[in-house]
Amino acid sequence: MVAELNLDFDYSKYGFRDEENYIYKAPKGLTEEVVRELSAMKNEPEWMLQRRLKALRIFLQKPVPLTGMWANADLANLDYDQIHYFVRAGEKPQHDWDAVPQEIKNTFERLGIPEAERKFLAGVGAQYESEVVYHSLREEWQKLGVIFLDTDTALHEQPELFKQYFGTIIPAADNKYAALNTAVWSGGSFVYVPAGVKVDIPLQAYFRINAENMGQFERTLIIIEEGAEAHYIEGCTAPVYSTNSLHSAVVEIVVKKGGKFRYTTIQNWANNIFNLVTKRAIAYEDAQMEWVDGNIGSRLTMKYPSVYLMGRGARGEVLSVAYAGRGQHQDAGAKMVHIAPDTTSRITNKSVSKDGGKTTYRGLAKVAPGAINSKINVNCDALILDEHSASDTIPYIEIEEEQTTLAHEATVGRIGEEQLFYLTSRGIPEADALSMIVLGFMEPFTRELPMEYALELNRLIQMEMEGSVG
Amino acid sequence: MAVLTNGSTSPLGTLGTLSVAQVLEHSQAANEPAWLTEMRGAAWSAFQQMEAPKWRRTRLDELHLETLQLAAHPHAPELLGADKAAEQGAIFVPLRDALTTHADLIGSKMGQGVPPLANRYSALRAALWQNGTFLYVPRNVELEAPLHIRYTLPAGEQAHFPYTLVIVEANARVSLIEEHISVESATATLTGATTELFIGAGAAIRYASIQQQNRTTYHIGGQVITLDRDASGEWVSFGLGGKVQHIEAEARMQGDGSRIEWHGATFATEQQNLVIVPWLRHIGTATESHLDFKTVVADQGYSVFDGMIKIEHDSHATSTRLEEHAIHLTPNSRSDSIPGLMIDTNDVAKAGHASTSGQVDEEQIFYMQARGINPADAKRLIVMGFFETALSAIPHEITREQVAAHIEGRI
Repeated sequence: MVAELNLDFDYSKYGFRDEENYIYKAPKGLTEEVVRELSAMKNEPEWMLQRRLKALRIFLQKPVPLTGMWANADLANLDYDQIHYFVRAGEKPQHDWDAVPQEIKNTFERLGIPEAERKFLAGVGAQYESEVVYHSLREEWQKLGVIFLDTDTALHEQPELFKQYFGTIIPAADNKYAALNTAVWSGGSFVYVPAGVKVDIPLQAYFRINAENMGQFERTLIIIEEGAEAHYIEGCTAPVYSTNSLHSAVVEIVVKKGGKFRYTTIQNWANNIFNLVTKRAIAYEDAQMEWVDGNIGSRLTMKYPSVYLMGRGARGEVLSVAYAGRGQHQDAGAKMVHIAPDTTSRITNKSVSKDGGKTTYRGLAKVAPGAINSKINVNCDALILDEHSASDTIPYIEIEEEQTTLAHEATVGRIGEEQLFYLTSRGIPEADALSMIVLGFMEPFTRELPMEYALELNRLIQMEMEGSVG
Repeated sequence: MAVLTNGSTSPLGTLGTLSVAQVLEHSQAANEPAWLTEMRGAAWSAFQQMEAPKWRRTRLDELHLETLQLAAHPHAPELLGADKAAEQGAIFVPLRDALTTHADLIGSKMGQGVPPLANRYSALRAALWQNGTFLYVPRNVELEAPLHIRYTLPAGEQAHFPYTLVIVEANARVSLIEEHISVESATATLTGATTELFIGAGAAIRYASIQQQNRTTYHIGGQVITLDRDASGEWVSFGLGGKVQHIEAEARMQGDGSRIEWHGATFATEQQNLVIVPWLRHIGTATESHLDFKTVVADQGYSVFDGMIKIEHDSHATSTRLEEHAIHLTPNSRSDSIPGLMIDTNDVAKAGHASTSGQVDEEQIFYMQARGINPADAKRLIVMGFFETALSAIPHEITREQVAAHIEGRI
């Protein structure tokens, strides 16, 4: 099985760009007109338009968050007037790969998506600019009642489910970027797994920004019914342009009683993209929610996947790695909010900074009154590879209940001279030794990925590490 | 007009009505050195312009600074051990007295540790301090007996801003206790304490800061120990009293080879909100620090440990560890812990932190019950054991016993 899955990705080609050839491209800047036009083009129900307009007002009112959880001076450099908020690349999403426009197809073929689908995925969605261009779900899962649609289609085809959950986990007023997403969201995945159904191979979505000054605002809504199980994987890329782009997604997840869900992200945006994402899951009784989050690309990532443990016995986990190279700041972390008794959570974060890059771990571990017998474990380790790089760790711990067990541990260090000496004395070139040590450091993360993703991540990091020894 | 001097009786008005001109005038009337008059004026004008810092975990909404009145007759602190110190050539006197004899020395250091304009409260303290303590220990002098400062906010007074300035010259040694108390008051009172300790090359200090004020007092303090080459500090911080405490404290490892061993204990019960913000700042080469804070909360008590390890870009081979452990005695109490790390260099020997939170271990209580100790006593013994490392760091036996008795009485 392993040999068969050896996808031959050409990593040097992530930076390619396609000719821009769009059916519709909104003018730069965000106005009520843009929102109305976007909603009209999508033929949306009135309630969604109203939701968007309300969110737009919230977005415009909220100041750029420069203090507290979102404190990051680089946010001030984002020029909202220079962004295209909606770009339509093709017609409706296709279910037949051959019907996808050739240029877009080329893009995803270069990234290995169709091949991956044939080999090991339950379903695939591919989003190009603002909209999903291809979406498919294997028939066996369709028969069991699993729904896997792009979010725009879901709004029309599953109006009841959609209205019941949309915006209930992350309201527009949650933060400035959630408001922005609610105002201009387009694309994303809608997943519904009925009670008791276990989708045992992953669903996948792939996100691609191609146009310059493009803002991508996908919206994902996932509902895992009682006792159901699923795994969703997303990957993100973009070519490098001279100006900054913005990716601001909102991901809402509900895992009901006894359900299990894992959400895996490999984020490899180009290093001029601001990646400001709000991801939150609600886990009910005995449910299990896991975020597996890898951040390699982007200029500035601010992302703190969270789990609200609402039912007795619920479990939450965030396992994340961040790699920050030249000009990059990976400001990522996790939030665990214990609201019900007997809930358990674990946060494991590994970060590496190099060539002037900076990593920040920001997290919240909160135990609300009444959440007795909560157990929380937090581990953060940072590796700083040279004297120009930096790392911050800012964990917030708020305990409002006596019967709680919390342990938080963090370390920051450099690569051990001894380790390096040991490896080089065995004839391993220093650059390779360095990269081996970094990959070893990240191993607790990579071993949780499906094989092809683990390989992809390791190769991405090896590429980043090339020439790292002067 | 006696804000800044003893003896005068004219009413002062409230902080809300005090102008920069009045502050300058009072300083000049007290014959203060020009640099101090200038520092006060700049600080007061900054105070008037600055917004309140966003301390969202510190409950200051019921503290109305503008209505507070300064003491017309600011008390000199009680200084214990001054005679013995003088015998060995050290100076341990009220700061106002030292201003007439050692103005230049004071001027060379004041504000170098705690920056006056760091925030609205540091500006307030820098502008309006009336008295405090000056301790000067000359080179190579080793003081055996601990020195003890006791600041009291007496009945009928609303606010004071005691300033402690300590200069320990090279290779000297001293132990110092700074204690803050206040009496019950019908209205809210404020203590704004500033403490700056400058520890010279190869010198050593043991320093205990003990806040056990009344439940009507707000205590908003700033404390910085600056350690020169190979200097060492042992610091213990007790946050026990007050209605609300917010202390920003920093150990600054400036000189190569300097080190700090820092213990702390916070005990928040009833409605208390006790916030400590301890920073370990590493600047020199091969500096070491270890911080170990213990927190106990009960009733509606709310403690905040907002600690930070900061390793500056130009430092080398730092070794540091920060730990905080919290115990909850009752369900409604709250403890927040934010053990931060800000590392601006890769030349770090060791850096890490750990934080835990939990309740008293049931197994331990069971074990003690099995040996005939009733559960209440067992809990008390466990909490006292939890605070033991902090208690044993108090460099004076009688004070240690008093603090222990105070804690034990409240469990």
